Amino acid sequence: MNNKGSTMVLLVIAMTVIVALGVSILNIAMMQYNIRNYSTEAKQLFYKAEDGLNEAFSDVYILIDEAAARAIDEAEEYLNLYPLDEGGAESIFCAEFKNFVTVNFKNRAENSSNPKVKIAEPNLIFSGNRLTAHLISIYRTDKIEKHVEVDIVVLVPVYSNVKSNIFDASDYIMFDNWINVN
Amino acid sequence: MNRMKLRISNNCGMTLVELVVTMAILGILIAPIMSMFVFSAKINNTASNEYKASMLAQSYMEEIKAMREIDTQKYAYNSSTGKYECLVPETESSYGAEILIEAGEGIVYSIKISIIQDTQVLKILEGSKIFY
Repeated sequence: MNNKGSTMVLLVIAMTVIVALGVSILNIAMMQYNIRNYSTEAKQLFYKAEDGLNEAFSDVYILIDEAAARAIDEAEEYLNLYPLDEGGAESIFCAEFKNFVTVNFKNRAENSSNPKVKIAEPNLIFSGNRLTAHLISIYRTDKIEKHVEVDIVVLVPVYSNVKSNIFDASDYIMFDNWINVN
Repeated sequence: MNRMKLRISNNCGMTLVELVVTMAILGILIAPIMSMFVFSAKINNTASNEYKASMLAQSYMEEIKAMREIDTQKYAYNSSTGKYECLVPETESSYGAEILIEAGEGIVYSIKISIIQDTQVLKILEGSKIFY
């Protein structure tokens, strides 16, 4: 029987198996590395997208301060003319506050850079003494895009509190319904 | 019969020679293949380290995000840098961390978490939080 070269054939088979094993293990390791990298990057992007919403919140917080100051000025002007009409002054305060907030909300909260922040509602309207705006923040890189959404709720301050200077804007603004879309 | 004997004797030691040659070739070729296994193990180890570091950074971040106000016992204010700082020393079994909280625009505070291994920064996670 001619056995010449049979060991070489076995060698080739063994080598093929080992190389296949090596390549597949390397492939799995690379895949796992990429998945973990992606997960780590996605985590960072989530926080970056959240930063956009925090900045918007901060800007609206300042807007509430400005709106309250402006509204109380208007109310006081009215009171100078009609000193006994506290009810009328309160109505003017509320109307001026609502008007100032709705007119300026979009240009304060929205941001066109990265993260991009936009408001879902085309028109913002107070419902009673409450305004709810749905904000969407998107942070983009070449590979990943992260969306975070939240409602910012603004309440009309209590007239007597603003008048007697015990007003704190943090009592009249809050986050609601956090959503992490992807 | 004599011819048959001659043929058998001609094959004597042939398999041994083949085996030796095979082992030599296998020895030469196995080295780069083994390095492939070692490389895979290294990649796996790096990925595992970075993932653990990012998980740790996330847990620090969430701890800060859950605070109503800055815990100055843990995050001491450094007047020279103007930041709240917390240094977690590195041990043999756990990573170290440097956590910085700095007042930004308005009421937003920026947070920077660096995870440290062997005095090298392994991972950085940045975020923000509103404190008023």
